[in-house]
Amino acid sequence: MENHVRTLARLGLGVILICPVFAILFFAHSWSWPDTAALLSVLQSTLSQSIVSAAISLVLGTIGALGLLSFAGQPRYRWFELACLLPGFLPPLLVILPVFRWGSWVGHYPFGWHGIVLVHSLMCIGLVAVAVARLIQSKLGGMIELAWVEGASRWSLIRQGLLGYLRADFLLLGFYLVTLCFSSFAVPLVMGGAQSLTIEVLIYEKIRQGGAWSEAFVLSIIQLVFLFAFSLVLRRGIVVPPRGRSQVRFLSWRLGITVPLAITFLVVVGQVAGLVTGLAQLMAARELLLALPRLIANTMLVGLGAGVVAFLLMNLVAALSPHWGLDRFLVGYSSPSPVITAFAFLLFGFYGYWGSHGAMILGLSLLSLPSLYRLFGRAAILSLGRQVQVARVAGASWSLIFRVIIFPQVRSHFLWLAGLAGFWASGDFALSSIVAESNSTLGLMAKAYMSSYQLELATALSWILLLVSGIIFAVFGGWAHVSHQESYS
Amino acid sequence: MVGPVAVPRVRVFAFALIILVALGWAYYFLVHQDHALSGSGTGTPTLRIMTYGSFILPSGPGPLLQQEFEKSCQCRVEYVDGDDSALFLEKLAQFPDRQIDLVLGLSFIHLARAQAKVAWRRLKWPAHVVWSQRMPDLSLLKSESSTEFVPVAWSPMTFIYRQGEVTPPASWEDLSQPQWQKTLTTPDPRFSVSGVHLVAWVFNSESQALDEFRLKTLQHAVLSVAPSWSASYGLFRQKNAQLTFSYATSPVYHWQQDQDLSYRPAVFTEGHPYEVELAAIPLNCQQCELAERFVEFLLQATSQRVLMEKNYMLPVVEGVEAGTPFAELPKFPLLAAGDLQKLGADEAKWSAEFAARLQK
Repeated sequence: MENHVRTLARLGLGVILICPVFAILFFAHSWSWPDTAALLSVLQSTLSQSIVSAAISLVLGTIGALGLLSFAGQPRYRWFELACLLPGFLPPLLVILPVFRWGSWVGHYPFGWHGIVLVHSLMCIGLVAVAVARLIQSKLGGMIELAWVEGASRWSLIRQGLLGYLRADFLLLGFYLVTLCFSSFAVPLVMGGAQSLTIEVLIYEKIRQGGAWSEAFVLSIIQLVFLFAFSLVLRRGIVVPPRGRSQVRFLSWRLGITVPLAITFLVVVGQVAGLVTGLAQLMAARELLLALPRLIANTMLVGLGAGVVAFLLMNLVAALSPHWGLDRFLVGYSSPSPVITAFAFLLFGFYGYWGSHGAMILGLSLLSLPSLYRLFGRAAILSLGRQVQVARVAGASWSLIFRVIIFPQVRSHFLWLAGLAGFWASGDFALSSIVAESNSTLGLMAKAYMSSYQLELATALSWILLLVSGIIFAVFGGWAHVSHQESYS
Repeated sequence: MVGPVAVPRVRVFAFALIILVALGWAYYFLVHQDHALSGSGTGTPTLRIMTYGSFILPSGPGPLLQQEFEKSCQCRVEYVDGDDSALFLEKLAQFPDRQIDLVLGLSFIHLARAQAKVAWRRLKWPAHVVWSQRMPDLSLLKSESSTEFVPVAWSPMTFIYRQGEVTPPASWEDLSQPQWQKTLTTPDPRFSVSGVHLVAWVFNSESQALDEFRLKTLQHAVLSVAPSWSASYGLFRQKNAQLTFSYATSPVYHWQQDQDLSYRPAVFTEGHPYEVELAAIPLNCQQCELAERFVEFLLQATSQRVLMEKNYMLPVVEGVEAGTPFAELPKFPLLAAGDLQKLGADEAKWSAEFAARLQK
């Protein structure tokens, strides 16, 4: 009986994740196939930008990882990790705006294919640095120590240890990055210019220009199948382990940390331009000041709500694991376009104040789930496989296993992930602008100000948004910290 | 055996307190919001107006118009953000059960699509209104004495420049000169309604050869095709481009807010495209009478002034702009409304052609 329920729950989860794509069928009243030549060209540019972005991120992120390792074991390590992760979890607009500002400074805007690759790389390098540093600590730590004692040079450690032993992990990390860039929406939309359409952007174009829903459906299916087939070629998914405690300073290269930290610095400082004028405009905008508490409350509602739902979904996945099919699905699954997800929620009647905010919370947490699972959540779940196996052999029920073994060990880890989901969701405007009934969150208000002439005011709002997103992350982070201390000594 | 350790109580207490205060505060505002939206249970009729985001900004025309209208209507006005004109139509067509009583800000260029996708209520043509003489001839909107679409604001579209920085082009021929190479930013027509107007301008000449010439001119002049009007205009404001394609009324914002009189619209000898913002009532409206009253209200001189000053668009009613900076804008030769509307019907085809050519 329990097994039937688990099977049904797994199917239910799969259906929920896939259903936005099939919701399109309700909108398509006539059928047409996208132009093959255009489709091939878009597929080529989507794939090429994804692969090049992933390659650049892997190379520079690995250099960053070597820098990060030089701080291993120090209290500031966690702060460096957070700083590295920041550009990857900021709303894309907050990374794109500084690129425009620095572009204006050097007199060149990197629009088109190069612009997409640049922004994707800026967002992924820190993520790779953190992931690779953790992989090295957990998988190579002991070996590095031994090799160093026996006189191995740093270069041979990198060549034979890092590139030799971690080759498969690099390949998997590369796959994760390719899927991330392949299905990215906001970055190619803003940076693409008249060129370099990606499948996600083409789907949006089809819906905007007269509602070519059938073509949008075909494109979504192609994207899903493409990524899923890609995942099947690779035998296993990426597992980014928790931080280890091995002596890895022999492999570290302190200067390497400047790569991800410089990116974070450029992104953060880039937000400052126009801030003074923006704050002055904000102080003068009485109506906006009056609306600010409501905007902050709504943003917190969306961020905290998305975090809580992401936490619940991750726990659901953990409760339904280990399962080869579920794992394969989540590794290979790519979230549908935010635009399609948004229209699906409208189809299901998510109207009005609570409906639209409910759609934002559910939609954004569903969209973030595959990324959270693939990059960080999967490791925590898979690491419990042996304990679960032993408990099952001893006759424990699945519900007891979840309560006693799984939940206490994944709780704090998933709370961190919930914080990341909440942080990201609070700044969204891609899905939100379709389902929202008003400029109810800081992100939507900033977007609306950008569409008027008050760009500086949008900058000031972006800073407040950053602060609120930080608080949302801190709430989950604090909860995770307390939960971690409660569980372990 | 690993056992639980005591977490410092002060830390737990402080953390719980922060969460409680944050949740309590959020709850207060959310409940407050919900009461506001539900009309506090007074049974007051609610007029739901779908419009675009910048219209309902605290500094936009929406809140002021709402306040004024609510004084006399014994109703509540509720704005629904529909994103932009293209998405208004998609949302109305796909979700007809969603109560929308009035659509405000429908683009004139989407007229054919609006007629094909959504059923609209016929309104009496506002015969009492003295239309602005600067406005294009929009008689095609009128059928006998009724209409489905009422114009509420408008602006010619053109290239904006900074006086003292360049001598503006006065024709497409001028724009094709070497000095304008890589100087222009424009919104992408596939994602921005304002970009569609540039496409309309390019493909609306008297001959195919002239269309081709204009396309080539743009290939030479365009520095960047940005995904939105704001990105395109932002690049121009940061002085990375010398020209941008925008509303002819855009300079007035800088005259008024930045006290910068250098921003100017270029006047071409060829007829310019123009944006006309339309109001229309879906046939399945629930507060239809209120919606009609709101449309009439928008055509009053005081409302037109609010729309002009807060939305930086020209009024459709004669005499409103007199004595304001808007009156100082030059006069523009305009395209025929029929031609503009015809092109709008094939927007997807022309926009794709435009984008494809600019890639080369």
